[in-house]
Amino acid sequence: MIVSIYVNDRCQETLFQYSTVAECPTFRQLVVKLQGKDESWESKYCNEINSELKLCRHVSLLNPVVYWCLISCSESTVSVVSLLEEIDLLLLQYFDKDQLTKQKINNNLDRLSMLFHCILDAGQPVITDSNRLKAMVPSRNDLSKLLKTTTNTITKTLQQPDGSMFKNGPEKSRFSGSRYPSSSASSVSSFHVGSPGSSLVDHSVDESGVPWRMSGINYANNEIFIDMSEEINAIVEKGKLLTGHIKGCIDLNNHLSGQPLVEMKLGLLDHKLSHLNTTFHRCILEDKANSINDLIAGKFTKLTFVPPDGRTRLCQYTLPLVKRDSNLGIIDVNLQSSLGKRLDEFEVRVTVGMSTTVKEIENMSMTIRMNRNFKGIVRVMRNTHGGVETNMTRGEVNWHLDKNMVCGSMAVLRCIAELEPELASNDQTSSRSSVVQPPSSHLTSLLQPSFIKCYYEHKSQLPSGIKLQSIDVVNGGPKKPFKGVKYLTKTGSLEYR
Amino acid sequence: MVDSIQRITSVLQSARDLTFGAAAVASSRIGESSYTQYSKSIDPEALTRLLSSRNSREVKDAMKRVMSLMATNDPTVDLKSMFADILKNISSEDVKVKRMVCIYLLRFAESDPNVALLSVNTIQKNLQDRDPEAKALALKALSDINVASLYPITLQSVKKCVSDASPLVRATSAMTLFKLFQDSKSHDEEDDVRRHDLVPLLQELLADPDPLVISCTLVVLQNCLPDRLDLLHGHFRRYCAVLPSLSHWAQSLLVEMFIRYSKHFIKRPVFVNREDRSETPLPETPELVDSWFLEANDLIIDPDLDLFLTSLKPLLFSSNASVIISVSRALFMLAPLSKFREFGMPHCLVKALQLSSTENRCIIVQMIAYYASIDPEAFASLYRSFLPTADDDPIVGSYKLTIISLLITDKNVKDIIHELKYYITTYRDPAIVKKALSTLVVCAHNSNAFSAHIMKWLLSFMENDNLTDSEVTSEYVNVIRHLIQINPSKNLSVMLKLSQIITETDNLSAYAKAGIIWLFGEYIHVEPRIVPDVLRKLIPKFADESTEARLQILILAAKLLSFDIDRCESDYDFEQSRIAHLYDAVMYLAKFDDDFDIRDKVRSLSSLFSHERFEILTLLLQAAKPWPALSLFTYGDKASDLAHLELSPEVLNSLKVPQWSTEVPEVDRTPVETNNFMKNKSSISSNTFFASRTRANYQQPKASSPISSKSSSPEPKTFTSSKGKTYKLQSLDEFFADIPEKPKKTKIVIEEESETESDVAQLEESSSDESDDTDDIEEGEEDDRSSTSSDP
Repeated sequence: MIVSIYVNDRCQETLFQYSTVAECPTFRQLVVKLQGKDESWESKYCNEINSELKLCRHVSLLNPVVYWCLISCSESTVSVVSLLEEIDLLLLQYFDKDQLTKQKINNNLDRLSMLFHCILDAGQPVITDSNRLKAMVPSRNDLSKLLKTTTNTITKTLQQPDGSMFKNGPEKSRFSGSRYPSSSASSVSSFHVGSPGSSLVDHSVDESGVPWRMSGINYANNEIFIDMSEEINAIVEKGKLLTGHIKGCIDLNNHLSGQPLVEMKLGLLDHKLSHLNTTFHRCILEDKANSINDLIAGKFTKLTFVPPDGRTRLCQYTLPLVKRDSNLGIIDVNLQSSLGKRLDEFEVRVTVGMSTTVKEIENMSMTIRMNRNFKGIVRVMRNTHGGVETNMTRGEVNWHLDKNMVCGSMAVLRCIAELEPELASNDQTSSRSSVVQPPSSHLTSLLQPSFIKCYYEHKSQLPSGIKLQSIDVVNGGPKKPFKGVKYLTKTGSLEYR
Repeated sequence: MVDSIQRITSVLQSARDLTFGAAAVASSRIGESSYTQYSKSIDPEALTRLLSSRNSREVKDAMKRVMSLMATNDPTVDLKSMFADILKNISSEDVKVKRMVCIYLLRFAESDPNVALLSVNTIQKNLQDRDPEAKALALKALSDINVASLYPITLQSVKKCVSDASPLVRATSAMTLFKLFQDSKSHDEEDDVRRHDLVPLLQELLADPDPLVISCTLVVLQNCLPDRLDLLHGHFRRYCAVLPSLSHWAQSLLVEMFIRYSKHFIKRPVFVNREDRSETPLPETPELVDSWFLEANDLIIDPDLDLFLTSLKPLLFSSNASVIISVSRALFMLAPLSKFREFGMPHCLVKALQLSSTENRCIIVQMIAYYASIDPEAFASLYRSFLPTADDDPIVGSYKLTIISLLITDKNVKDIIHELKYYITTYRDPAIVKKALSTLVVCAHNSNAFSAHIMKWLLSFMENDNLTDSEVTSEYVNVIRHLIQINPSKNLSVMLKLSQIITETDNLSAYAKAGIIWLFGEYIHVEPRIVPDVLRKLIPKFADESTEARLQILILAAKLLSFDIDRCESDYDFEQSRIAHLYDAVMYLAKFDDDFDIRDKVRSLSSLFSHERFEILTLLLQAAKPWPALSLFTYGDKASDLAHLELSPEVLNSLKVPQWSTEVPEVDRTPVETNNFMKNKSSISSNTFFASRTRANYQQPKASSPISSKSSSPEPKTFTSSKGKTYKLQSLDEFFADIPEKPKKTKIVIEEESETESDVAQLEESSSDESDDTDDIEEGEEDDRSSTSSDP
């Protein structure tokens, strides 16, 4: 039985609490109890409070929050954590957001309470469908949104005195290539959605129709967007791939009227999606046009489904990286250590390759980890891009490259590592005796960084090369829906040694 | 420019179209943040006033404030004092306000049951609501008021709602049963009475066609009546087909339940030899079977069990880690290992591992470790997925290394050693380094060549690296000890090297040095000639050594002397013996030690030696030490011994499964099943949506046609009635709701018997009819809505 759910920020400050029983401890009270038992409670995924209750943790992968769930010991931890994962995604889908900020939670405490009241009954999860929840707790009357978008549009127009936005703005930006519409365009579209005529229709999940879709949905603008994102996780040693996988997911955001039947074709190259590496949303699995045997064999040519309204995670997959992909995407990082006369310098070279689709790399940064026994300072000798900060208590050098890096450029960072005086003097004595000889191998290894962690993201191309070939609403009415696809590549845990 | 001005005016036009009231509200609260600001400004007095306001907007604002206060546990406002003010809003027209009052009730009803009971009347009235959501909410609220005297009322309401047309209401009534079951646990006598009341209702819900209702009912069954698996007989096959449509939570519950069910009620699968027809039952805990055995034997598996296992296939695509784990357990427990691989379970588990959050990874790796300990070959090709990365949680990292140690083969041992060395030299977390060291020993076991290589590397590493962590160092010494013991022929050079290290280099940590000195003490008998020399070299620096090392030197001296005394056949000559002199020197130094422990040790040892209690000394100092608790050292029967995996208690618990029952009770799964199966179809096949698209159903073929008499009859009727006038409709609703349970049931039984075989064709017709009906219903519903929404 789920007794209570706490939504904390990363500093373990409770933002929201929902409990299913009358007398329920606050998170602080639990912390006091836990601290007495075990100092390291925060790093454990499951803590026992007493013989009947335990506290499960889930650090959200998507949002800057931590979920803690007080449950009875008879519940299996893995189910509860999976449920929390599901709820985490569900909240994003409900609020139609990319991230659930602290402010958003503070502004919607009442709504969150109602959502959790719908999700949980008698301490057991009952409803975990985004659309059913949307029907049960209808989102805020679109009035304020409407006014907001109106004012947004007006201010935007006023900012552009020539009125270029309205002359060709919406049309152009919305149909430029197969990208997402710019924010102004989407606010115009939600303006229509929010018009009183359509928003007042009372939604409910159709009891005889598709269980995961609300009925009576009507949009003035039919839109369907696909977000395909992939995350690179790999370890590369001296230019050779050691191990790694790509974690991908396909998200759908649709505003389609009625019961649309969507057909999606993926250009998979030579990758294969089957039960071995893929998860599908139930709308794909339960649609009988996709035979389960074909899905298992990975032989499907297209996917047919009736999507839930709003955001949905259609599919997640992992693709193992094999040795021949050692050039991961368009970024290459090269670490050379033991340079210079005293072998105490190292150089990081980042090469951003050319690409026909990708224009720039965003938020690129490197974390260079020094040897764990290294005590001393690292000084920058040469840096072509961005800034460097060193955190020697953690043995890290953080190199934040420019926010946007143009493709086809190369960044170089050269540093010198210096040991602390007492260790260095040790070194001095040994080197003074033999001036010509380089320092001992032990000391050189101490001056070398152990690995570099690399972070970046870019749009328009996926490292696996998977593409969306086509997406269509098969049973669409006279109006053709607007379609857009966005590709996003991120790094998960990318390590260069 | 003109164009843009026109646009602006059109935008303003649309804004003007808004009603005045709405605009006034909106102007004060554009955006959520400003609303929150406004909401926070409501003080307790204002809150009471707003709660009693006639303006529904103000009531809503007040309730929202109450919700925020509850969600943040704000101590500044005493919400209990407003009980009555809040409670009276339960009669609000707005479902949201009602829901918020219900949330309040859930938390505070127990604090003042008498006031809480005041709301019961309104809630009961709401139970008659036409809107299924309001009805479900009312039922939920009623059951959440935890007052014993309400039991009869709640029971009565549930009885009505169990046969409601809306799945949501039925699902809520299932959860109500859950609460009623739970309340009863305290009193024994009442328990029986209640069970008598509740179990038939539960049975009725089990036969429900809607996946949502089934999901909820399974939760009740699992939690309240875990030993009543017999209730599932008639539904087994149908649930197998519905499995993919259930909620994730219920999916894993049902799979776990069916594992227990199969073990208890289904015949154990057997291997039958093709030639002599001899039978070998499926082993209780899965074990590897040779391929020749599989070729020579046919696996006979009960069709129902086979159905269950096949129905697990769609679940392999689940995004929920607990479902994947449950499926893996089902395949592992109920079928031979070949099936586990056939389903691609190893890959699926790795997929789940890579896709889920840190917390779930901790559990999934433990499951994989368990499976890999029994069937390493299945995971061998995936070993690269288990190489830890610097971002891994320490728990995940160390289990990953456990898995790696299970998957070492001749082919990959070189790569693995390379990786392990990297972890040992660079990782900061002592737990990982420790684990990597012990995994290295397993690598050394694999071949002599590598063992020499590892030894060499360890020694050079020891010379260069500062080992500071005591745990790591002791593990380190353990590893070296193991390697020596594996390879006695080569240990001489290693020990010489070690003696050189401790006497010549000085960057060893105290723990490391003490560990190595101890090691020499343990291996005096292997090569007695080295040790005295080591001791001799150690004595001059005795005062400079660390406390740990000094203690170990002292013990080494004692061990050496004791060993020498034992070796000597005649009386030991203390005067002539060099070793005794060494010992005396150490004793002398240690007697004046700073450390209390060392002085104490000296006293006890010297008194033993001076009283010539050599037997006791032999026992004390030369007793054979047990093997260090390194993983994987019970090589022989590692499958049966899970201890070395160090799984968490919860995971270990989940691996315990009842044994196959020896005598399978005669269970009739078929006859009941056909009836309930029809029920299922009646609502799913009548889907207007899916009916229009003809395709092969991957459910059982015989499922495609019939319709249950029971669920088909009330549903269309209530719906069609909704087309009629409101008065009529309400009375009809009540009419259906008020039908007593008993007569209805007898009716079903009769129909069951008459219908099952003969009327299939007729029923098929009616199913198509019904799909038309539901079309009408949708229209009807929409009509209703538009009329209600225009009313206010």
